[in-house]
Formats: sequence, structure tokens, C-alpha cells
Amino acid sequence: MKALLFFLQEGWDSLRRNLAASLAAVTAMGAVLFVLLLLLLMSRNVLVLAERLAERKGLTAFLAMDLSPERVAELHHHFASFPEVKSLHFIARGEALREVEADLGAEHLEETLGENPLPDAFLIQPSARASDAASLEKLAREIQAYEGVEDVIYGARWVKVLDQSLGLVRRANAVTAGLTILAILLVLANTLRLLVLMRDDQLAVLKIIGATDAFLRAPFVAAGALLCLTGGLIAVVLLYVGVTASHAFLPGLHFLPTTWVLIFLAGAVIVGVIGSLLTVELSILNLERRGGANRA
Amino acid sequence: MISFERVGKQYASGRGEWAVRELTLRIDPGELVFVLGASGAGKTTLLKLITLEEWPTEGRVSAAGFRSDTIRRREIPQLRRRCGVVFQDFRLIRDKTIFENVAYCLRMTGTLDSGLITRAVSRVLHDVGLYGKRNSFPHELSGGEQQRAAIGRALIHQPSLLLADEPTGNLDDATGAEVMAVLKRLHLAGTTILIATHDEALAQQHATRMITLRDGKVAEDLFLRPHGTEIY
Repeated sequence: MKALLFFLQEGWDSLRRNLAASLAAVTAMGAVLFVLLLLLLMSRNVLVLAERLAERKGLTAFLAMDLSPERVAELHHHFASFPEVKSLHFIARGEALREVEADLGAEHLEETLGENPLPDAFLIQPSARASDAASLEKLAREIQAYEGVEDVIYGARWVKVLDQSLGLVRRANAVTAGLTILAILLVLANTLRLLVLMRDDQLAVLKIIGATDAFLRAPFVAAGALLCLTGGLIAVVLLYVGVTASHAFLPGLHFLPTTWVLIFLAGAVIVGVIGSLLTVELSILNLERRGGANRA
Repeated sequence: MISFERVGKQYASGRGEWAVRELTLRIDPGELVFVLGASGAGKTTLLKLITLEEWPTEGRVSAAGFRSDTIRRREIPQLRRRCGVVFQDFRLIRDKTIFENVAYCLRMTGTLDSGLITRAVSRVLHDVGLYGKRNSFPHELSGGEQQRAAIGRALIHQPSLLLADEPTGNLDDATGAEVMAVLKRLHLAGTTILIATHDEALAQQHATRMITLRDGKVAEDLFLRPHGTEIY
């Protein structure tokens, strides 16, 4: 713990000593991370929307008129045993008519129409694994094949659109995360190279008087982690302010859950540490090549 | 303590000049050796070969219990801590106080206990007569004081061997004498000291042994006085 604090202090000192370069790096890092965070915010809100839509995913299997209660019970038993089916709800034609009457605000529709035109039906909720468009289509075909089932309907088009949108969001997230990591590594590489150059003489002396490579690297790794953490915090604060300000015209916009924010910051620090290790390793090797040990 | 066995060092990966060649030497514990020679004679290379800042192109260097042909990369920091190194231009860390400069060397070995650090650094600063200036920054000290601080830094690991490259080269006679007085005290306390210099008069005055290099080879190796008979 003492060692960690010592290296964090050293890292902080080296950033403070090169204030202009450090501020430029934090700004660039903050901007890069803000873009990633913005995409995470979009993903979060698309996911919230998708969750709501997913709750409405389902199939309706309309049964033939005058189907015997025994056959209805058999079908119930069959469909309930499907692994793709999460829940099954039977709606008798009388109940369906009452729902229509309630929706339309009309009464005594059966008397008006002369008979109840609605069939019995099953409302089928698919399991999470079978919620994509292809699985729903397959399930619909299987149910349709049963004797006594007249028709099966489900929101095929919007399920496909939803699936495609979620896939697009996932791909966009992956690409942006990749680009962000690349940008962070570039900013880190430039900043840390500068910090190493500024302490070039000092590092060479420390090496000669017995410092290990790990000791030489550690303050720069701490500096890299601090840069990423600060950039990440700036991005989070900016986004929070932005989301709060936009509630006036986008009231449904959700900020990221705390877990996401913590994972984002931890990710930024991890990328900072790994990037710094790679960059500083190269800079220290260069230092060695320029003036250090020459194993001829 | 130190031995060179037919050591040669050629720069630029075998295409350049030989900085030292066919160097065979043995330096025993407790000696105060001055390595003399003109610029380019190989004095600094000789010191760098001991700390493995430079690696021999041929032959073998042994120092402080390590051998250049068998040492592992991770052991090099240990070798360097057993050899205190003092430079002509002091090379103190500018933005740290004298206390911090010395303490930093302890921290890099993983000693982070502040009580332990304060005791060890204070002892060393007393030894080099700089305890009163422990909170000064290098630029606030004279050249002689900076060099004594650098010697303090070299001593913090209590090395049995001290290597000094032109330690009085940047100092006037009076401050140079201050620095030599510190080095002589260390020698009396049992530290083996190897000083590279072009100042023959200084060597005549203090050395127990003088090795003169010419074109990378030992031109003369004089034992001036046996150990323990030096007059200070």
C-alpha cells in the first residue's frame, strides 16, 4: 500500500512538473472517453427501450372455433412443454370479447353482432433464448402445425428491426471501444514519451545507481493510470451535466447506472496501466540504447 | 573485490575503436586506486565496465561478487547498489531536496518505512557533513556540497566499493580538497575506492595505487604505499 501511494505520488509529481503536456493529455483523453461514454449512453437507452419492447414480444395462437375443451387442454399441455416457451396464457373467446369491448368502450357486442366472432387463443411468451426473430418464426411454424390451431401471429417485422438495431448497437460499441482504446494508447504514448524524455538524465542516473526497471517504470504507469482516471472522470461529469440539462426536452433519457460508470472508470484505468506499461517499456529500452548498457 | 581478465571493449558493436583492450587487473579490498590517463584513454569505460553500464566485448569483469559472463539481467541492480557511483557532474535530482535525493535511493530498494529512511539518510548526511543542509535543493548548494551530497547518495546502500569519475573535475582546489577529505575518511573506514581522474598531482597525494591507462591499455601500475600506511 505504501509502495502504491509512493508511486502514485511520484506519478502525480511528474504530471505536475509537466503541467502543459499533462493538461493537453487529460483534455484529449477526456474527449476520447466522452465519445465512448456518449455511445454507452445511447446503448443504455436503446437497451431500456428494447427491454420494454421485449416484454411485449410474444405469439398469439388462435384456435379453431368449437374446439373441444379436451383438445384445448391437450394443446395447452403440448405448448407448455416447449423449451422455447416461457409462459402460456389461455384466453377464452368470451374473455377476448370482453377485452375488445373494454378497448373499444362498447358494450353488448355479441348481441349487436349476433354472435361472438372471436376464437379461443393462447398468448405465448417465449423464453429469453427464443426471443430473436428467427426463433420466433420457427416456434410460430411449429405451433401452427398442430391440429386445432387456425393461425399464429407475432410482430415479426418489429422483432427483426429490434434485433437488427440491438446488433448494430453492439457492433458500434465494439468498434468505438476499439477505436477509443487505440486513441488512448496514442495519447498515452505521446504523453509518457514526453515525460520520460523530460526525466531522461534522471532515469539514466537512477539506473546506474541500482534502480530496477520496475522502479523506473512504476511512476509512469501510475501517471498513465491517473491520466486515464482523470480523463474518465471529466467525461462522466460532462455527460452527467449534459443528460441533466437535456431532461427538459428529453425527459425519458436515462443516465448510466452506477455499475456501468464504475466499470467504465475501472476500464479506463486498466487501459491506462496496460498502455503505460507498453509505452514506458519502449521508452526505457530506448534510454538504454542511447546511453545505457551496451552488451557488445 | 574487482578483477579484469583480458578485458576488451569495442564500441559500435565491433566496428569501432577499442576503448580498452587486453586489460588484466586485480584490485583488492581496502585499496584507494587512482586510474589516470588522458581523455579517451579508457578511464570512464573501465568504471562503466565494473557497473556493467558497458559490457565487455571480450574477457571477463568480476566485481562485488558478480561476474560479467554469468550475471543475470535482474541481478544488475544489486551489483550497482554494491558499488556506489559518483559522477563528475553530481547528477542530483534537481527538484528534490538533498534529503530526498538520498532517501530516493533507499526507496528504490523497497524501503518505505519513514523512520528507517530518516535514520539512514541522517547518518549518511552527517558522514558527508551536510546534515544542516538536508532541506536545501541542489541548486542552493556549492559544487563541493553537491558532490558531497552525491557521495552521500552513493553511500546510502553501504557499498564496499565506491567508484568516482573525476569527482573533483568540476571543483576548485579548496572544494576539491573537501570532497577528497570525505573520500579519504571512507577509505579509512574500509571502503575500496576507485577514482578516475586526469589529475596526477591529486593521485600522487592520495592514492595507495596508481594505474595509468594509455590507448585503452595499462601503461603503468604503481603501488605507492601499502594499505593502512596512508598518512592523512
